[in-house]
Amino acid sequence: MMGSAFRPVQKDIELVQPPSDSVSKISFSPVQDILAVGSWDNNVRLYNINNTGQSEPKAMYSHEGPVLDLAWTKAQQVAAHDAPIKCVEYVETNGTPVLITAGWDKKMKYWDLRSPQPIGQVDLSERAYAMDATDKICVVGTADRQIHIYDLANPFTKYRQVESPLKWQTRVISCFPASVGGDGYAVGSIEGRVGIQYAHQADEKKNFSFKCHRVDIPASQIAPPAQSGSQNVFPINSITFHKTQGTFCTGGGDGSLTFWDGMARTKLKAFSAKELGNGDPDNRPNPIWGTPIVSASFNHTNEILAYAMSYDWSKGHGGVPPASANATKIMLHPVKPDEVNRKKK
Amino acid sequence: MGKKKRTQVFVLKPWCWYCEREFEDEKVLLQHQKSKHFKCQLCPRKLNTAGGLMVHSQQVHKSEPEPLTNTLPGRDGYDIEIFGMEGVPTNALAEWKARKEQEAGVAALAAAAQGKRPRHAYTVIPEADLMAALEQHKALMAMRKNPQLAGSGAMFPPNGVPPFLPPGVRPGFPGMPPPTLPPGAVPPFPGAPPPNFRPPFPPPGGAMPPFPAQNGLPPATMAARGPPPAFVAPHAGQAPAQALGSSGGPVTAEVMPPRDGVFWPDNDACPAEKRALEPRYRYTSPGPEDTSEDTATTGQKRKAAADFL
Repeated sequence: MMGSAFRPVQKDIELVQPPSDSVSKISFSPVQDILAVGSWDNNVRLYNINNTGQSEPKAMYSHEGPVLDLAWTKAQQVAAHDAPIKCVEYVETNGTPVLITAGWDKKMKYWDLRSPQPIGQVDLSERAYAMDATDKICVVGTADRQIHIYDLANPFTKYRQVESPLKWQTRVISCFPASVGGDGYAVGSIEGRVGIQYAHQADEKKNFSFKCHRVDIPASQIAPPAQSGSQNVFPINSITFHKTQGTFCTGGGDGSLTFWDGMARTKLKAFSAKELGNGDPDNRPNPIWGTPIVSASFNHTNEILAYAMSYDWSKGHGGVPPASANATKIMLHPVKPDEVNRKKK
Repeated sequence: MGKKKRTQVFVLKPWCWYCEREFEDEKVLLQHQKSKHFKCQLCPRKLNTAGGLMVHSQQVHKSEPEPLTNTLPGRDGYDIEIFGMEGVPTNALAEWKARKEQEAGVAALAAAAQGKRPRHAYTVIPEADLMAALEQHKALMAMRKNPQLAGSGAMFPPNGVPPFLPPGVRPGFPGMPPPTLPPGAVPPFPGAPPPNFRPPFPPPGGAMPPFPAQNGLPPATMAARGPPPAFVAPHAGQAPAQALGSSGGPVTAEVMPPRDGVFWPDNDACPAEKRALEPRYRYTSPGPEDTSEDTATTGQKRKAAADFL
């Protein structure tokens, strides 16, 4: 075991000096308790987190445009697309480090970390909206609801292309960690739904999807388009897998977090927006919507879940919170075993 | 008489001392206390009182009881035995009553004030007035959506497609310079940085600008990429918005209203794309003199720029 048992106080801890504008992506280093935070204010910040949950800003550097995604690697590399790069992943396949980028220019490119030219590129059917990769497969979700699966043993030809199981725009894709077994991925849509998909045709029967991150509209407030049983439906902004248990955590536009066991198809633990101290959707008559959770990440020992709350634009520019609200926050959640451990069969 | 009226306005409902919540009924209050405050955190058992919970923890789990859950600060102790409204400290009760009375008084005052408000006129509004208001509103919206048009006086066809696109060029390739420039606009430096564009990374090897203090680098550095945002057309997103598939209409970072409860009902563009159209996220390209770092890059930059012209 690592010596750093994360022993914080009961409550979730707020990170010091959060970014000034919305967070786009947060990610823990795979080897250390360093949290990287990419933000719409063009900066990437690095925070050091010690085992009592105290955080300390370490470094910051700027880009010339908003940071939309980030990934941990061991070297620095510059990649370029003709349109914004939406997704970045770093994988090591057969010992070769490869950086994969996909952008709104409908292209996915593979980069060697040493050369400024891409190793190769493939065309996607539409703009890339979500991507994740393991050392075996790379899964890209595009704007036309297609999901392109690439086998990294043969990265330049498409392994499979399937239509998303979800009827609405793909928001996030997250591959199963090796502990789950089977090449699969979870895909989340803007319409409060998550699909669990397997990459190979043989496993297709195991695919399923479920609804989440929805809030019932109370009977007293139902206005014409809504009927009884209608819900407010939020986008799924992040899906994060526990690396050893294979359970996962979804973060949504409603500002809540939910832990799921995909294998047992059960919910393990839900943190409503209210429990996270983030608004109160159950408030009547006017629900107070929480700040959306835009990204989440487990640290390398899976003892801390960091989640970032900031405005995700899902309500347009009209929904931008006032600057005084200090809506952008990054919280550290001490992970308890019963939240993430797989259900016994 | 006066006393009777007072009781009609002001009825003290049963409330929970632990969280100061009001209930319609004493029964509901008891249920609430059982499930919210007197629930054992180690097993599913719910007890009737704080004392009961303490005894349960000590005897069943052989452990000191955790403080009570879901309470207001300072009210999570076991020393006060409360069952519904029984056992609530008298001073707390008096305080609560005073507060509720005051609130009721304020509410009554407000209700009285509302009664005195001037009534609105419910007559028919003349059609001419309505038309005038509509025209005014239309003008206002047009100004807001196309500020640059308001200045230049130029007019696009109502569907917003630039009039003279060469055939074969996909309308709205990201980074395409706008077909017409309003007077006084920035010359069209193409939005998309050319393929080999290098954003200025800090020099490798540990010279990152520290924040707030230089602490040395973590061993794992990072290849995070800010996108070289392409949406830099000086027009308010003329080309990019077309690329996003928003069909026709004057183009802004417009956002669809929620539909069927779905907060982002726009299947054709993701929130981040719409957000990137906002002026403050737009990439302002450095002038040519700033970018001459090495000849190779500049050469390619020029070539790429020429492609657009």
